This record gives sequence, structure tokens and C-alpha cells, in this order.
Amino acid sequence: MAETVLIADGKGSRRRRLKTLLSALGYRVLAAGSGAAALALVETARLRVVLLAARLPDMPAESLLQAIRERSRDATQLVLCEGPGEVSMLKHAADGFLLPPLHADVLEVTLRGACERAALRRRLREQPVRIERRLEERFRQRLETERLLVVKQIVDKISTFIGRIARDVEGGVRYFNEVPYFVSIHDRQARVLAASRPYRLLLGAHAGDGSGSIYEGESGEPGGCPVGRTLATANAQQSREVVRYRSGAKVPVIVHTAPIYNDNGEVELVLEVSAGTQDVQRLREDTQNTQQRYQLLFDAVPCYLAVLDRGLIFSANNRAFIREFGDRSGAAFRDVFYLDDEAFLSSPVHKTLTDAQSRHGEMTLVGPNGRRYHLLVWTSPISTAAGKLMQVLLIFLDITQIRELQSNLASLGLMIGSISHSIKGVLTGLDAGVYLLDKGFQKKDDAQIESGFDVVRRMVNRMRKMILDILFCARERELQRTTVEVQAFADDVVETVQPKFDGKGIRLECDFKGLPASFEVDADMLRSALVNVLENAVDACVAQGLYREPRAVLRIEAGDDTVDITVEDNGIGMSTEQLQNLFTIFFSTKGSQGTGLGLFLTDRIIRQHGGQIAVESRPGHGSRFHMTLPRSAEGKAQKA
Amino acid sequence: MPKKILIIDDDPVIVKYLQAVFSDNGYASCEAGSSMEGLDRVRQEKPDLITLDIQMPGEWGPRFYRRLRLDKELKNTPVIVISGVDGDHAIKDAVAFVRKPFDPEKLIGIIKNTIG
Repeated sequence: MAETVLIADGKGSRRRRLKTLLSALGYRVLAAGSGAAALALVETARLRVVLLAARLPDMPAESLLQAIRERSRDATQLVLCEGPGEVSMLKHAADGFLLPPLHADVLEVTLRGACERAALRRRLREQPVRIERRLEERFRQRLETERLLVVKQIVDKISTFIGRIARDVEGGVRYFNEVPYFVSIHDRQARVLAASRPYRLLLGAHAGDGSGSIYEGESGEPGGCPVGRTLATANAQQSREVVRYRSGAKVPVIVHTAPIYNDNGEVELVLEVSAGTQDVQRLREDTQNTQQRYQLLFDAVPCYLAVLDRGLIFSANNRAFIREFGDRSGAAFRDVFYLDDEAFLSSPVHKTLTDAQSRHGEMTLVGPNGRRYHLLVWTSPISTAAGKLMQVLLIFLDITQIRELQSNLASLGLMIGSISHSIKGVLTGLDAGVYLLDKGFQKKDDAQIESGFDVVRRMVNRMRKMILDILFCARERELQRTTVEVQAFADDVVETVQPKFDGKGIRLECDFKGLPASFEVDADMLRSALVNVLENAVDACVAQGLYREPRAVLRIEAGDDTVDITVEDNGIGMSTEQLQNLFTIFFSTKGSQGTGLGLFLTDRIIRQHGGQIAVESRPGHGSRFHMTLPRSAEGKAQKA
Repeated sequence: MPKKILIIDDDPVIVKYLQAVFSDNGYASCEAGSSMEGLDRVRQEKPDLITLDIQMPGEWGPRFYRRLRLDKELKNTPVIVISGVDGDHAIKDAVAFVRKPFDPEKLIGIIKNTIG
């Protein structure tokens, strides 16, 4: 390509000669007769060299040099001078000078140099631009890479995030983690930019593939796929589609797409998340079935099952538990069951909560219905995979009935032993009476006959009392309360026991206060309760012997709400051990004389009336029985 | 002089019964109720034989028996246990173990064999 040279010379002859010469040398020549004409031409071409006269008709050469330099930075400007004076004047503005005579060869070499110089200058000038451009290009690529990296990060993060949600959240999306779910990001051209592992592995799609490539049917078209529709509408989409696995399987999925906007509010990217509905459905059913099976199993177990969390709060109860104690989910264990701290701290429940070891043992606790339960307890820790104790499974087997039966059997054994012993005593006594009678009649000894009768009579009484006690004991009678005058009741009691006191020569003192008054009691039951205590007083006095004058006091005091009854004797008294067992069935201090039923029944009757009984005694000094009874039935009857 | 039998029993009916049986068969008798009365009576009366009810308040029967056997003078006095308790062998070298209710003639037979 020819280099372009501009000649600016007001002298027409020299201008034409130069043009001819340069054209001959192969240059493309532009010629101007004035500075202004030259400047007009500068813009039209890329100039290599400018040849200008030191004197121009319209402007100083210096101004033209300046103006051209501004418009064409590379061109080499040579000034045609008439003499050395002009050279020194322009030496700072021009690149070179030509002096007469203008020899063709000199001109050729000078112009060649000038062209090279211009090209060099141009290259030098352009060099930084090119470097800049290259940097820019590289930067652009890096941005693209980073953008992809960011996108990939987003996808990975979303995947982990969803996975985590799926793991963490119990219930609805629990099974989500189990099914392949596909997360991908698409660009504005509906092409895959990045995709999660399952997407790439199962669907065989790669970055750059069309967004619709994974779908069957119409959705397979770029415009018809969910991403395409999102790009078209700029709105989030949800649809059911069928994807084609790399294996060839066709799987229905639910697809969610969401547009991601750039700063200008245009859809830049589309996020697509999809999961196989079939798998979700199947897993949901599986999970439900498994859950149902476990729930059924949990409910069908004939023991009380409960799950306690670490805060001792019930989180689940099975059907047997709910039937017995009510649904206590959310309630605190120790609000539902009463047991004291010591019993709790030594219980398998507490121990398992402390060291996460399975335990078993027996617990006695009072249920929400006030009933006492004997329970066989197994505990099992429920821990996380990391071994952190989360909950404790409690399995209760109600052995209350067994314990009651055991206690009844033990009582029955005691009772049979005690009764047979008493019966033997009574039989021996009857033998004695009959023998005395028999011999009395033989010897016609009236005193012995009478003594024999007396023995028989006593034995019959003893037997009657024994039988009645046993009957009382065997059957817990409902109280038949009537309103009774305290005075009349007391008189009745005294009348019953007076003969026994008289027979042993023991004085019975009565001390009644606050009368007249009445109370609502089962008079028959209460009378026998009191008679038992008074008869015991007689026996205690007899056992003490005749060291002091034997006596007993019956004190009755009617208050506003209660009636207090005290029986005091100065008999033999009781040891601490005897006191502790006093109200126990078949416990007797009287050997062959006692059935061990009397005070057991007294205690039961008093408590049935909603009252209380207390005893003080010192061996050798006597005993004091103190009973408090509510005057009305409102003082609720307690169970014996 | 009739042989003397000490009756130790807390039931006055039994005491009266045994007294009648023994006197009808020509024996003299004395008695002790519960409590430590028994040992004093033994020393006082020096009976030829003792009938002992071991089922008395405070497990007194066996204790009485051990005390009796520790006493040099009394340890050879024969003892017949008369009791409503089955198979209590706390008293090993008793002459006999008679269960209530008892047949008076059998009891007298045992006594005759023992002390004549």
C-alpha cells in the first residue's frame, strides 16, 4: 500500500515538481497551496509525511505544524526552507528540513526515513493501546469464568442448602434428601450454565446444552421448556414435566423456575429446581407406611410407653398409656406422676437421663388419678448418630395387681395361720369347758359345772368376735352414715365394754365435752372400732398386772367441725417396734389371744370416715389412742 | 405326796383346764402366767414336771426354757410343750410336744410315763 505524503506549498512550480517526483517514487501525494487547504486534507487520509513550505501564503509555518500535529500525531513533518535562518526558527516544531537544491536522491532517502519514522511513531503510539486491549480481553474472560464460578457456587450452595433443609426438617420434606433433585442455572439464551451433580449425572446434560434438552415432548423446545417460559414471561413458573434420564427412563418431575434479574431489571439467569414426583410419592407412601407401622406397633404394645425428652417433658404416649393416664404429651413427667426426690433420683428414668444407659427396675408412683402404681420400668436412651442423648423411651409394665395379689396372698397366708391358731385356742378352750362340765357333773360339783359353763360361754364369745372380725376384714363395707347424737353413741359404746372392764376390776372413766352435739357416722362400724381400742385397754391393764390401780379414760370432745375421741390406759404400753406395726393386719401383741385384726379394722374404719388415728405409748406406762373424726360427711371419706 | 406339775400358759382357760385334768388324776399343780413369774415359781415350787406354752407374748416361752436349762438345779426338770404352733422345734429336748387342742388322757399318759 502506498504511503501518503501531503505537500503544502504556495509556490506552484515547486509543488508540481515535488508531486511529480514523489509520485514517481511510489508515494500517494496530496498537494495543497495553502495552510488551510492542507489542514482540510489532513483529515481525509492517514498521513505518513507532510512536506510544507517555510513560508505559506495564509499562515505561519509554525501554526500549521502545530495544527497538523494535533490532527495527525504520527506524520513526520519536513519543512522546505530557503536558508539556515528559517531552520533555526522552526527547529523545535519540525521533524526535519529540506534545503535547496532539492536533489531527487536526497529527497528519496529523506522521505524513506521520514516514512519509517512515522510508522515507528505510530507503532509506538499504538503499542500501549494493544496491551490495554489484550488485558481487557483477558479480564473479560476471567470475569466470565468467575461468573460461572459464582453461578456454580450458587448451585452448589442451593443444593447443600436444600439437602440440609431436607435433613433438618422433619415431616414434609424429610424424604426429599432421598430423591434425586435437580438444580440448574440457565442463561438468557435458554442454555444450561451450571447444574447440580444429579442433574449432570442422571440427566446427562452439560453446560451449554439447551435448557429444554432434558424434557420430553413440547417442553423439549427451547421456547416451550420451563426456562424458556420463564424467560418469555419474566415470571417464576411451576409445572409438571417428564424428564428423560440418560438411562432412557422417563420420569415425571415437578419443576420450579425462578428468574434472576440483573441491575437493569432484565432477566439475566433462570434458576430451575426439579424433583421426581414419582419418587417423592413413593417415598412419602413408604415413610407413611413405616410411620404407620411404628405408630401401630407403639400403640399396640400392651405396656405403657412414653418418650421423655431431656427436660423430662413427655413427647409421646402410646394408647395404653393414654387410656390409663391420659394424653400427657407436652406435660412434665413429675407433674403427671408423683414421687419424692429420693425415689426419683434413684429411679431408672433419672439414671438413664444422666448417663444414657439402658436401665430397668421397679418404681412406685402415684398417678394423676391419685392411684398408686407399682411399675416395672425399662428405660432406653434415644440418641443421635453422634451419641448425644435426645430422649428416653420408657416402658412401664403395671404390676400393681401382681403386687396387690402378692400382698393379698401374703395376708391370706398370715390370716390362715392366725385364724388356725386362734381356732385351735378356741377349740382347746371348748375342750376345757366340756371337760370341766363333764367332771363337774360326774362329781356333782356345782362350782365346777358353773366354771365349765363360764368357759364355754367365753369361748363362744371369743369365736363370735373372731368370726365377725374376719367377715369385716374380708369385705370392706360401704359406710352407712346417719346423724348420730354423740352422747347416745358414747353411752352405747360404754354399755358394750363396761362388763369387760368390770370383770377385770378395771375402772373406766368417762369425760365428755362440748355436748350435746351430733355427727354423721356409721354408728355400727365406729362402735366396733372404738370397742376394739377399749378392749385393748383392758388387755393392756391385765398384762401390766396389779402394780397399780388399773384404769382407762374415754374422753370425747365435740368441736365445731370435728369430734375428738381419746382412749387412755395405764396398762403395759408398747415398744416402738410394736407401735410401728400396730395397724398392720394380723399383727398382735397378745399371742394366742389376739387375731391381729382389731386395730387394723379400727384404723380402716376411722380413715373411711375421713378421720385420723394416732397412738402414743411407753412400755410400762400405758397407751393413749387419739382419734379425730369430721362431724359431717363433707370431710371427704378417704380410701382405707 | 403327790407329784407337782407347773403349768405355764397365758390363757387362764387353759390353766383352769389343766389344773382340773391334773387334780382329777392325782397330781398337784401350780401355775404361772406370762412374764418372768415362771422362773421364780420353778425355784419356789420345785415342780416334778413343767407344761409350757411357747406361743406367749414376747416370745417368752423359748427364752424361759433356755434360762431353765442354764440353771443346774432345774435343768433336769422334764418339760412338756403344749402349744397351738405347728412344728416349732426351738425346744429340742422336751419330753413331748403336745398340740392344742389335746386329748387329756393322752397328756396324762405321757406324764405318767415320765414321772409316774
